[in-house]
Amino acid sequence: MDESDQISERVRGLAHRVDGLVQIEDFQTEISGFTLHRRTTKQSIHCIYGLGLGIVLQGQKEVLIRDKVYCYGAGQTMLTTIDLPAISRVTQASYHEPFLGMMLALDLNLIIETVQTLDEGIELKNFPAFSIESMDHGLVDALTRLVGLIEQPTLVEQLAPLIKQEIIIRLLVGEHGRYLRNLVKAKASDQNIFSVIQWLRNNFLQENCIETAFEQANISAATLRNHFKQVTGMTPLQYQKQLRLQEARKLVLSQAMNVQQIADLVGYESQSQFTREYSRLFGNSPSQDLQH
Amino acid sequence: MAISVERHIPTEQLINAIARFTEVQGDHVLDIPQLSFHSRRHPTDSAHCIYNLGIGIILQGQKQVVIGDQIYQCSEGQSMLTTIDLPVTSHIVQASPQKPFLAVLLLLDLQMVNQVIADMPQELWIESDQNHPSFSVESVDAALVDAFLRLVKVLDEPVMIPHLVPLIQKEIIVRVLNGPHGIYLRQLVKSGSAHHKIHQVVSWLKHNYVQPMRMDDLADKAFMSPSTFRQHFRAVTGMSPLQYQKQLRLQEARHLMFNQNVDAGRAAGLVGYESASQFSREYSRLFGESPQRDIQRMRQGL
Repeated sequence: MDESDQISERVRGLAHRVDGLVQIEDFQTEISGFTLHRRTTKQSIHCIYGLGLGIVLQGQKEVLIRDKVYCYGAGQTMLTTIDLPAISRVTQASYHEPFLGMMLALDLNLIIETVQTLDEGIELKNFPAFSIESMDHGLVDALTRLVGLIEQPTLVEQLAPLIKQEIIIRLLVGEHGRYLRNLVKAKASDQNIFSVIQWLRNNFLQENCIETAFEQANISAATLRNHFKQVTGMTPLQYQKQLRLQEARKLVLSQAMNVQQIADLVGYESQSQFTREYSRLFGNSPSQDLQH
Repeated sequence: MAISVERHIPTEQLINAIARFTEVQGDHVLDIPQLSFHSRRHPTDSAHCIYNLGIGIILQGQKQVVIGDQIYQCSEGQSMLTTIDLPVTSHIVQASPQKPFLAVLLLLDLQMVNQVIADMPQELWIESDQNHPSFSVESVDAALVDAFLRLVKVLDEPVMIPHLVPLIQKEIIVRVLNGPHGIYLRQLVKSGSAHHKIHQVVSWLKHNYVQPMRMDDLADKAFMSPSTFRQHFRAVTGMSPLQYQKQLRLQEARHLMFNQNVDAGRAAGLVGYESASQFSREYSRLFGESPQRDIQRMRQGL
């Protein structure tokens, strides 16, 4: 058995264990920031990825970020470093072989502390906001112990922080490492792009929010726009639109308002434009979704 | 009551993981300075040494440890915890070329133990007013062996040593605290406990064993009456303060004679004996032979 077979074997073992633990589709464990996921049908969700690690144990999923599709399957992990609106679609799942995955939120401060203890320097370049890599033995092992801890609730408080720290170390020295390091360096050396994203994320319903965000940043609009695109894979306008449409989607699904009210609230002047863009992103028109 | 699940204890894996370090019999320390591997192919004579704060696992064979007048048998599948520096006499009882005696030992850092205990959820504290001895032997559980196994495997990834070793050390402390050794380790840091006070006196004694010892002064250091002090000291270390000091003195004298070529008369003076004949008498009683013959025998044995 070569190394990748051994890893696949361990991933299967872990999938089996997780399958036994997940009681609902999205299961919040006793360990903070650590969730388990199970799907028996193919489905899409719109979400905003924060700083964290997504792990697929069984099945496959696609992530649509702006207009690009990224695919990852059993044994792979996706590291996202920035608040990123995305559509995540489970593409391989069945009743007999459900999709099984896990999400672990990562603590930026802990990453910063850990990076300081590692020495290599890497040139700061603009970087995509996520990376997809296969797991190595060390990471599978640490994740297996984290899952094992779910069944020992009395030890969670004492051992979970140690395992999370180990995972960060493993990520930093592994294939995801340069993304994480870049994140830390970018945070330290260039606050602009992050503060713009953060600000937009919290104020996307305001009028002229992009202009306001740009004014606050101490950098030329052209540079910022460029930088923004490199980091998030989309323009500020596209980013704002995704946030608005996702908010609209939430409102539609909560059934509390009509289409006009929702379009208004998320900042569309024209209801027909809203309907068009909503349909393009989510497949159904808002009124179709409202009738469900 | 939790349902206990039979879980395989991976001692076999740990034996395999250390096999390449323990082919030559002896005590081996590699890139993790707190971690040592011990192997012997034959039963041994008594060895006198000082055990420090640490946890060891016997993987194969058996050893006998004598502390004061207490005799402990430590066999494969058991772990031994020492919380206070103790002069001990030990020997390997079971070992053969086919099945050597094998053990791993991890020295623990008192500050780290303190920190882990401070971070422990209060509800897990088990209060005990009893004085527990500072040496305990218990069965190992799978989680402890697994943590040791990962510690050994870090030797294969030298770049990870400074990052992962402290995490695994902390985990081992957590596991020990939550396992059968827990009460023994916890009392070490319970401030105000008799154990804690005795620990401080022992630390002082270790550095001042050459001086003549006055029981009243030691009892004062522990804020106890002399009789209470004597009683607690014995409960914690397994011997009287005088025996403890004597063992430290005689072990140091033996070390001076063997390693520094100091003669018996001078060694006796250096470790605090006023009478050479008393030294010789007590030395013979502990090590089985007079100083000169003991050292001669040790040299020949090399």
